[in-house]
This record gives sequence, C-alpha cells and structure tokens, in this order.
Amino acid sequence: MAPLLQVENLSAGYGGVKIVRDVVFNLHENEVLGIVGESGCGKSTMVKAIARLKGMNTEILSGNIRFKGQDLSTLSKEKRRKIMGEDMAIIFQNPEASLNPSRKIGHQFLETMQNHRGAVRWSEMRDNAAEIFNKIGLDEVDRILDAYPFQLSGGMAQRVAVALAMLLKPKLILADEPTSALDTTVQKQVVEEMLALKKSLNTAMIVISHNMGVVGKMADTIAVMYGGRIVEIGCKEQILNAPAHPYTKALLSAVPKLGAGLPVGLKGRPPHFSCIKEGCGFYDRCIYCTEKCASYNNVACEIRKDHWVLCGRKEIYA
Amino acid sequence: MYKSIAKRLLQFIPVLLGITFMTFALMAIAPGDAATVRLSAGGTTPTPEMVAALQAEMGLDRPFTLQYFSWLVNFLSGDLGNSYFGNTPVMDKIFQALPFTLMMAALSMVLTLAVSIPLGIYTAVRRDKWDDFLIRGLTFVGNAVPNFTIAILLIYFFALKLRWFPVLATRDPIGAILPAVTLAIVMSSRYIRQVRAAVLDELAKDYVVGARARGIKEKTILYKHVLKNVMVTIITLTAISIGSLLAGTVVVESIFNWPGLGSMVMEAIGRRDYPVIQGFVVWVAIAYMMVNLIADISYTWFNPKIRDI
Ligand SMILES: Nc1ncnc2c1ncn2[C@@H]1O[C@H](COP(=O)(O)OP(=O)(O)OP(=O)(O)O)[C@@H](O)[C@H]1O
Ligand SMILES: [Mg+2]
Repeated sequence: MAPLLQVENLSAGYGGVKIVRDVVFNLHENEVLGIVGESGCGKSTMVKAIARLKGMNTEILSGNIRFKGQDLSTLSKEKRRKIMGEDMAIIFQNPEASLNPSRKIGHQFLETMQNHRGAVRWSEMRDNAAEIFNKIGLDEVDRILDAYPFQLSGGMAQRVAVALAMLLKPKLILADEPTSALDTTVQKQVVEEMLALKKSLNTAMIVISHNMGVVGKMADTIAVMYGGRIVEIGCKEQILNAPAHPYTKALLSAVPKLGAGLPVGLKGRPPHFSCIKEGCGFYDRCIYCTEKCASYNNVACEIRKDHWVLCGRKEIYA
Repeated sequence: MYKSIAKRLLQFIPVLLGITFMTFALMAIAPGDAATVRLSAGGTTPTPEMVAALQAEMGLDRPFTLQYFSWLVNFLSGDLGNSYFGNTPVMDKIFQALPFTLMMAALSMVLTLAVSIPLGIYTAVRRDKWDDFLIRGLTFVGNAVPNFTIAILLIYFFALKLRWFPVLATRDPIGAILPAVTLAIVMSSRYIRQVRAAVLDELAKDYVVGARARGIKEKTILYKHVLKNVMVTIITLTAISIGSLLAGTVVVESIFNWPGLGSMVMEAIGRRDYPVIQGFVVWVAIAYMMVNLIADISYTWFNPKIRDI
C-alpha cells in the first residue's frame, strides 16, 4: 500500500535561511511518528513545512511532499483548503492557537463542519462533538459548546482543541507538542485520551515532543532530529533499546530515570543554522568524532530493516 | 449589567455640574461683557452708566457664584434661560439647530463607515500591493489637506461647475450633502488607516493560522472572526466622531452656511450670549456621555471578555 504521507528530500526555512535539510520519510495510515530532538533543531519548522499555511512563513526550498499520492505544491489554494481539517489536521501547543478567544466554541465547531460539509445544523454538530468529547473525557457537552475558550481551564481547552482537530476524522494529524502546556498529570491523561481517540478513528499522526515518555507512549516510529536533519529514524523499540547514532545515544542518556544517577548531559550547543555546511552537523559535539567526519557527506544508511542512520562511522553501530 | 448602567448614569451628575461650573467661570473671567456688546450693537459707544444699568437688569452685577447658582436652579427645573438677543428661550434655539446638526452627523457618519470599513479591510488584505499603496496615499492626502480646502474644492466642482448642488442651499436637505461629504472625506482618511491596522493586527493572531488549519475559508475568517474583533476599534472611532459631530462642526457649517449647532454657538460666542453658550455646553456634555455609554455597552457585545462596564 502507498504511504499516506511521503516526504522527499524536504528542505525548508525562513527568509532564505535553510533550517530543515534533506528530510526523507514515509508515514503510513494509522502510524504514529514521534519526532524528538533538542530545542531549535527544526521540528516545528518541518511540521509547518508540511502544513504550509499562510501566516506560518515557512518556505519550502526544495523537495516534495506527497499526501495520498498528490504533490501538495501543485494543488490549488481551494484544494489545499479542503484538505486541511478534513484530511489533515493540526493540534497546536496552545489552545489559543487553535481557538478564537472571542467566539463561542460551538460556533467554531459548527463552522469547521460547514466549511467542509455545507449546511450543517447545530444539532448535527452537537452529536459529532459529543461523540468525540465522550472519548476524550469531556462531559458537559452543551456547557462547553456554549462557552468561550477563556472560560475553560487550560487542560480542558487543550482537550477541546484536540477534539476540534479530530472532528472531521482526518487521516493525518500533525501535533506540535500537544501536551507541553499542560501539567504532568493532565499531560498523561490527554496523551492516553489522544491515543484512544486515534485508535478508534485510525488516524496517522506526527507527534513532536520534548518528553521522551510521551513519544515512547504514542509513537510507532521515532525520528531523531539534529541541526535540521533527521539523524536516525526507526521503529520505537529499535530507537529506544538499540540507538545507533551518537546523538540519539546522548539524547537517551540525558533522560532522567528513577533510581539511576543524574543523567549524562551533552556538552556544547547545537550549531547555528546559517553556518551549517556539508559534513556531519554533530561533528563538534560527538565523542566518536574523527578527522574524516568533518567532510563526510551525509548519506543515510539502513542498518536494519526500516532503521536508518545518518553517521559515517559505521564501526560504532555495526 | 443594568446595575452598572445605572451607576454610569449617576456619574453623569457630578460631571455635568463640573463642566457647567467651569464654563461659567471661564465666561466670567473672559474679557468683554454681554451688556457692552449688546449696547454697542447699534454702532454707538455706550456710556458707563448705561452699561451698569443694563448689567444690573441682566443680573450680571451679582457675584458669579450666585449667578451660577440661579442658573443651576433654573436648569434643574428644566429652564435653560433666554438668549440675550431677541429673548428666545435657549431650549428653542437648540432645538431649532439640532435637526440640522443631526442630519449632517448621521449622513457623514454613514458615508464614512460605508467607505472606510470595506476599504480598510480591502487594503489590509491587499497589503503592500499597488492598490493598497494608492488608497493609503489618498488617505494621507485626505488627512493632510484642511477640511475647508476640501469644502471649497467640492463647492467649486459640484456646485459651480457641474451644478449638481446649489451653492447655498441652507435648510434644504440637499444642502447637507456637500458638507457631509466634506466631513466624510476627512474622517474616512483616518478611519481607513485605523481599520487597516486593526485588521492586520488581528490577521497576525495565532488563531487565524489555527482557523486555516481547519480549512476555514478566508472569507469566513475575515468576516466572522477578524471583523468581529475589529468592531471594537470601529466602535471606539465612531463614538469619538459622533461625540464631536453632535457638537456641530463650526468650520464646515459656516462655509456651507448650514444652520447647525456649530453656527449657533459661534454666533453666541461672538455676542457673549452666555445662556446660549451654557445651554450648548450642557447638550455637548450629555451627548458625549450618552455616546460613550452606548459604546461601552456595545463593546461587551463584541468582546465577551468584557462583561462589566
Ligand atoms: N517564524 C520564524 N522566522 C524565522 N526563523 C524562525 C521562525 N521560527 C523558527 N525559526 C528558527 O528556526 C529554527 C528552528 O526552529 P523550530 O521552531 O523549528 O525548532 P523546534 O525544534 O520546534 O524547537 P522547540 O523544541 O524549541 O519548539 C530556530 O533557529 C528558530 O530560530
Ligand atoms: Mg517547536
């Protein structure tokens, strides 16, 4: 079966500065791809390049994005609009980014349905919303639909945003740190509810998170990003239990574990995007680094089935 | 809600007292005096005795606090006094001029909103395109040119050259059109810029990208989301404009010889006709406060976060 989303050699950035570099991956129906990497490595930029909405300011510098086999860049504005919400949806970090603070939540649900399905009555929207609210732990359907976003708690508002993204049962959801604004207990709940919802609707997802726990729980596949590149991608078990890339190893050892000592941090800062050249981007922070790494041309190598690594020193993971 | 409206209405009382007292005080310290002006109207210079006699007759020789107090007592019983000239009740004079002022205020306000809301939105959507530059250039000119110049140009072209309107058509509703257009040109120049800025501000908000992510049409985003939030700006602008329009517009009214409140008060000031000036001030104060109250009430309608005024 053809993948739902094919990202081919995608490079993207802002105002001519390249942030995301040569990203390649496929996402199949029903699959959850988790993206990890330290702050500023280009995770959000990659997701924005896929959605490419007016106001996100992200430029695609090269490469292709195919969704359901169609090249998104060749579609008309109206076709792109119809895909958004109906087939592809976004969950933002903050509910403020999803919901207009001065319109009632019910109206925003209703207009989402009406903009895709024509004349939809409030009662019909209410039934749809109630079904999703139910699965995501929101009772009091009518009170919420009749409220303004600022009248809900942060956790509730974010759940509403999740429900709104799921309203039309999209095939793909892009979630950029969907739970980072919540406190840890609520975070766990929302993650579980999103997973349950995802299962019942068979949605594929791309989930960005700083939290290894969230990614470990939700993802089937994990991609590790560094300096705008995907440096390692593979199924969750492989990445978590047998990481190959030196950066992934460093990242995993930086996750605090109960009962273990302090995590081992990674020295130094990630490179500045304007000065990334060819060669390995992790070069100056890598403990396995050798002379030839500086000029190593980045070609991903498949070390096991569907487990790709972007590192020239085969001897360290072979 | 009703409670806070009642509270606001009660606050009118001290404001009104303060404003009328201040006007009274200013008139008392201003140079020139009503009796002299009235006696010199015939072209002769009055003797000091004649002036003193008339001052006593008009009650102007009393201490000014006493004058204010007696004015206040009359005002509370609904009497604003009589004009010094022709003895017409001030109330009658105001009600004579008011319809003309209201007509022009309504006409110019409707014209302004009808032009500047669509153009403000349009220039925001077409930001930095040639038509945005063109319209913004025109609003810049409209802002910089004084209103009497605009009035004279309009008279020259539409009354003298094209003969669509009479040059001096006082009292006839058709005479309201050119002065109203003059005011509308000046106000629209400001409004278009402000509406444009407010729309751009709103379009930059996060929720707009969020709405696009749900596949909401640009038109819906503009008219159902953005415009609702921009209405607050528009109401503020409108309230300020209506307030000053209800006071009459001196320059434009005198150019077009339009018998509104502006003309009335200019004449009264020239003649030191204190009761008329005082009556005018009362009207302006009440009009401003009412307009602001209505504006504040309508804010709550467009911005649900404001629930108390
Ligand atoms: N709108 C923008 N305009 C210009 N540069 C931007 C913009 N957004 C992000 N960047 C830059 O792009 C780089 C990558 O940012 P991005 O937001 O993709 O990182 P991220 O991996 O999502 O980080 P975080 O985990 O902190 O969210 C950063 O250097 C950032 O400064
Ligand atoms: Mg981010």
